[in-house]
Amino acid sequence: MTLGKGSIMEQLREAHLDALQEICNIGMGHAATALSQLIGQTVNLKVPKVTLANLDQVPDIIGGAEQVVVGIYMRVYGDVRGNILLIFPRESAQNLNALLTGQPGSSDLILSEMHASALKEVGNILAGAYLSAMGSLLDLSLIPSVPSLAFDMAGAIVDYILAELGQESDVTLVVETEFFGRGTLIRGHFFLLPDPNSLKLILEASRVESRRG
Amino acid sequence: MWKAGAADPKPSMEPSSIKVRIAEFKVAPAPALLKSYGLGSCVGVTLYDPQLRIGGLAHILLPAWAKGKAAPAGHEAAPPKNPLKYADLALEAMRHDLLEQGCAGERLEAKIAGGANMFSFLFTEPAAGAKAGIGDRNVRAVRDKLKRMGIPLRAEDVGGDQGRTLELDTSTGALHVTTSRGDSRVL
Repeated sequence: MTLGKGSIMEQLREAHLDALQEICNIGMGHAATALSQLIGQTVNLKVPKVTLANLDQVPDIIGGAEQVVVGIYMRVYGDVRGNILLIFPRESAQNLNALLTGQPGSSDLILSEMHASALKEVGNILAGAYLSAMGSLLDLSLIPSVPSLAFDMAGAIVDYILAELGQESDVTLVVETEFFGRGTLIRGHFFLLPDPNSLKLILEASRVESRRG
Repeated sequence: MWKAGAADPKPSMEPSSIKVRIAEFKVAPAPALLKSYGLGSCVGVTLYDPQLRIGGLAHILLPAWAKGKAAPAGHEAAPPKNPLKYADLALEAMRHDLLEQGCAGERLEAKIAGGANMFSFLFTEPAAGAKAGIGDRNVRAVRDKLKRMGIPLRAEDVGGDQGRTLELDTSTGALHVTTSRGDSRVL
């Protein structure tokens, strides 16, 4: 990693990632609790993994550009601005839908109105819980927008976000997590993509000294 | 005339299928398949010389590179670290590569696909007003650059709300476009 050059993303170091990891643990913990309440059964959570990835690696991280996934996108407003993107692989989305609606998800490439709306609600709840945990921890106000959903190839779903980020940087922060509920595996990827200035704010608020080389 | 082996610095076995990732372009003589998977707002651009049967596919992430925007106030912008993510710089680089391989600039033909808007509605910054989506802006930047380079645009499949997978067959110049719903067409 080159120091003192490039965007804030490129200046992130281990210490920063540890701090973000800690924030994410707490945020995702709250999100899992919220999800448990929504589906009426315990949802366990694997410790989220926070990584920095090159933009062109992102489609591979979420399983390959051509894999069909559900993407739920929200914009973050308030003291910190950015994007939240939740990605559920097709099977996980179907498992989640089965838990939520009691009806097995269809294997079609088109989600029914009800299934899409249920998944958006999941996005809303996860993002809301995550952001409010992070916000109270850092004393920042963070508000998610209304969610928007797409069911398509992973590459196609993330490239809008990559384009937003790509204007400033060649790397991004990825939070990867897995949920388990009643023996059903629900794998999800959670992308928290703060705008570069907002990332600086998060790091400052988390009292990690952002030393510039 | 282009001679076999002259253009390919690697004398190894020719791959039948070459993957083109985000912010990347690949150029190959026939027979080869250049593939880009899952383009949403990204735009895939092919440049093809039908006489030599050499083609290239670029997977473009962003519209034209804005010199001034990247630089902090009072500083001259350094060239971007990865120029290939920008429409204008990627197309220039790809044409340069094709010409080096012996293609004639006036024979090159372009086809483009992609530039979708994946989320049914995206949130524009209240202050920024209703600006066009990144997909639209990518398509416009590509068309614009092709025009300025004098390369004719032979076919396009752009916009909509579906992701696309592209495959350029350098034997024919045909660009195969498929969506996750299984629709496919040939440009």
